[in-house]
Amino acid sequence: MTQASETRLSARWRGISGNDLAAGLLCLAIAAIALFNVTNLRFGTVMRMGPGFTPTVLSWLLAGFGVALIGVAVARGSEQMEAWKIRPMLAIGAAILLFSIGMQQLGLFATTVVTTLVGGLAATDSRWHEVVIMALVLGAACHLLFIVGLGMPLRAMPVFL
Amino acid sequence: MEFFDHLALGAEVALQPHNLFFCLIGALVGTLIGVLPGIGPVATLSILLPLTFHLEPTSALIMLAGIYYGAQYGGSTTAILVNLPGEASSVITCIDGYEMAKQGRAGAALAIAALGSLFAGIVATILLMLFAPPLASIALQFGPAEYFSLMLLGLATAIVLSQGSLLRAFAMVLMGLLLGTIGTDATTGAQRLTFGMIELSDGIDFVPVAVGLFAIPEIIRNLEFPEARSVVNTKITSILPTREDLARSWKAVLRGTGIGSLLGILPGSGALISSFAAYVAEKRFSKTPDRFGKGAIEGVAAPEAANNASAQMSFVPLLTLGIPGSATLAVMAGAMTMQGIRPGPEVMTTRPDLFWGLIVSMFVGNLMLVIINLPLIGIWVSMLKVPYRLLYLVILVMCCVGVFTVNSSPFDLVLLCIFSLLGIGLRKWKFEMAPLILAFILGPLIEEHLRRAMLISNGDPSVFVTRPISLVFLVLIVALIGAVALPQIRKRRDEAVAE
Amino acid sequence: MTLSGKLSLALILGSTALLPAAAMAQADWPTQPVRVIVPFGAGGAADTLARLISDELSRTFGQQFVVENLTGAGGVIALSQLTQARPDGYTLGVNNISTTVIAPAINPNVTYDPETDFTYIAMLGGSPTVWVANPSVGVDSVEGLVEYAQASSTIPGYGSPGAGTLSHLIALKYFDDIGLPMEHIAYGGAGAAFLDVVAGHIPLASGTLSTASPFIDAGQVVPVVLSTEERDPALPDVPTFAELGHPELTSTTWFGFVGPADLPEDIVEKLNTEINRILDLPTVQERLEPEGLVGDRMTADEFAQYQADQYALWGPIAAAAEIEQ
Repeated sequence: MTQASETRLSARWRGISGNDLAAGLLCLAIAAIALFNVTNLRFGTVMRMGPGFTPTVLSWLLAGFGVALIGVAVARGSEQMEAWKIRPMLAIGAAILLFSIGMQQLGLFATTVVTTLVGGLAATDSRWHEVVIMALVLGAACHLLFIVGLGMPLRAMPVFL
Repeated sequence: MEFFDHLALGAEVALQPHNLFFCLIGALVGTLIGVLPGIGPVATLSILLPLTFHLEPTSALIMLAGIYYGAQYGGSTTAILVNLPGEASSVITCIDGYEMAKQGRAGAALAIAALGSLFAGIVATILLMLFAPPLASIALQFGPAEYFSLMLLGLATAIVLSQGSLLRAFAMVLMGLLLGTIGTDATTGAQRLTFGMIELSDGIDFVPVAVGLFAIPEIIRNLEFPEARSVVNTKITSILPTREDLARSWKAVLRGTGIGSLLGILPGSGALISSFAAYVAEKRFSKTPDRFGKGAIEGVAAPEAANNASAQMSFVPLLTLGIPGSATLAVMAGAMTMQGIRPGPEVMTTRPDLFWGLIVSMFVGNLMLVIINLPLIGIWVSMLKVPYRLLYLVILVMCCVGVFTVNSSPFDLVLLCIFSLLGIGLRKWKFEMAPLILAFILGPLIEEHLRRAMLISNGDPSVFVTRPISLVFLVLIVALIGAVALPQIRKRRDEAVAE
Repeated sequence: MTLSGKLSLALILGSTALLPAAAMAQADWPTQPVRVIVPFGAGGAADTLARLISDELSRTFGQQFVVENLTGAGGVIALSQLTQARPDGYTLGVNNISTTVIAPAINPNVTYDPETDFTYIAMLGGSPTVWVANPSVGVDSVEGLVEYAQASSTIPGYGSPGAGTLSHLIALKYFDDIGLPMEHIAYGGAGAAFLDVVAGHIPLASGTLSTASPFIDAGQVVPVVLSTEERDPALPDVPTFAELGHPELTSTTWFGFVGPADLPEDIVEKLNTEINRILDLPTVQERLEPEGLVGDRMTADEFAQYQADQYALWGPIAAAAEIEQ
């Protein structure tokens, strides 16, 4: 390969729009997962469509658009991509999952407190004493609003109490 | 005149002190649950239903109806304040409503939403009184072919309203449609894309998807860019809409009311489609379509009027045909059955007091809603002054509780995490969520009606163009897409020529 | 609101604090509130039944019977949960033909076995299936329907409340037996299917009589055949499937009261007697009128036998139907 063609290649590579590329790959991935999981469903005919008809057609279309987006990514040229920050995503994700586990075991008050405390780790400007007060206030508010006020059938107290 | 006889009969029932009281309770509870995302009207009605068991049927229905349209009304509050659509029909309100809030104009947005809803509610109730039976016969004209084309038109509006390229909007629509196929196939009962999980056999609920795509990515974004959130916190201008706001909004409210009243008659997704359609209509009619998506007040006024009008009109199929148009109305139908009244055409003749009393209570209820809500606006807006490092914790907890209480399902929170991740990614890559979510909701309905239409026509696809109502919708779709696609194609061609 | 809030709080506190006592205090059951799980949303027939019965049971036994709606997967999730509960009489539930007869036969994700995982307490009755035709089709009998279908240039369709519902299976079995090709069109509920018959989009629908009655009374649809044992006094001219030589199609979309397996016999006995008494109360009858429930009162043993017979009859039909896995 000559020196010239190599530089052109890397320039073109640098010139790809990351946003479209990422979305295109996501479309392809989702389409692939779906296609892989609908193979056992009957496709049917246009008159008597089987359960597999719609998901299969949609998956192929989505895959097509995925390819088209990748094409656009190449054609459009480079575009600024936003960075991903791990800390807020981890903290918020953990807070949500803890809420899911907590509601089965700890009851609404304790769960809300835990979720708020973990969620508080997401912001860089959090002050821990504020977060603790917030956690207790939100826990009490949720208990009063949803269990006492609206009478929703939610677990109120931890299982072990 | 018959109209005034009915009005008098209804007023006699609705204005009795105890019925006024239940109407007020309904409006209050409706507002409360509308503001709390996820705690949708279905869940609340289900909880309150047993309490109405021992009430007189008319009072019970007046209260439940108040909750229903009150929730529809309150749903816009969190959409505007924190980008959290509590219900499908407030998805569209997020776009310009939240943008207005970021510019410090949350008060104006909330006030216009309230006033627009009041106007729409009253007009729709008058239409309901005058034309309920003939309107019901319009709904009967809609067979599978007509519904299919209408829903497709709904999807087309999603593509039209997006700001970016058509390609991206189509990709989002397809993703939403595919997600909508998860669950038990309505036509054959087959399990599709459930990955062997029983939790997925009813499909994915709207709430984890909406909260995951809208609210959580917004929290993450504000935490990642502390400088962006300062906009939300500072410089809240006037709480009331300006003269200019009102001048811009009144036509939008009128058009929204018209669209909502028409589409609300149809059982199914009337409220949702009408809010999207009203938004798109505004954007098309506007001399300055560029303002949409950047805090245009018409973008709040029109869809809010439309969804309240259609909430009111959706009582037409329930009361005249006995067909509940939505899950919420199905609970209302249940409430009637529990009282020993079968919802259907005979209600109007056998229980005129109940029928007209309920309808007149809607005037009262809508008025109460505005009286309750206008003073609240100041409180909501001042909540935005809470420092974001504390506010986001409140929003986070609201999201979790809201998603959990839909089905009391821990699994829904796992779904929330997955959709949050999807939402964060799509947002970073500059994709829009509204087309995805509309497609997600309409997808299963489109498929159902398509398959039904093909079975009835014995596989002949010409039904969609030979049936006039269906043809009209299809023509509208082509016109809408064409109006967006042509300039984009022309632009691209010009660019190519220039190169 | 506050009341039921306190109730559920009391319930949760109660059920956790009194656990050791509960196991031994079977003779004087109930000593604490009882959960009644309804696998469907508020306002439906199952919910109305559960609430009416729980209301009266609370009065009789002096303990609250608290109805809890737990929706999801067509009721399968709630019944799975019920099978996990302790058989101490403090967790009961409502089942129906779709959750313990049809779903286990066709849905591979159902984890319980209807033959061993439940104690069947009482049969609550159900609404029979009726076929109705659009008046303009000119069909008022099954013979007329056969003529109409054979004269039609295309295969006519019939609506049902959904794939795998009893009304669908009855139609499927009957058309299969007489060898008449008909196209099944699934709707989301009987009301939507009947509405399309009224509007003339489809000629025929099979669905629950309780949903069809307003349309029949208004003359918007013509009843063709019923799945009751004997003719319905309100529809004296409508024959039954039994009269047409298909007695096995005599069935309703029935509901029942169940508990987890191995529920103590004396508790089952108490509940069965009480529920049968409640179902015959005039006040309850009046409230249940729109649900159009029919069916004989059964002892617990009879109900268990009925469930087993229904499973043996409809299970294979459902499994063989074109309902896909």
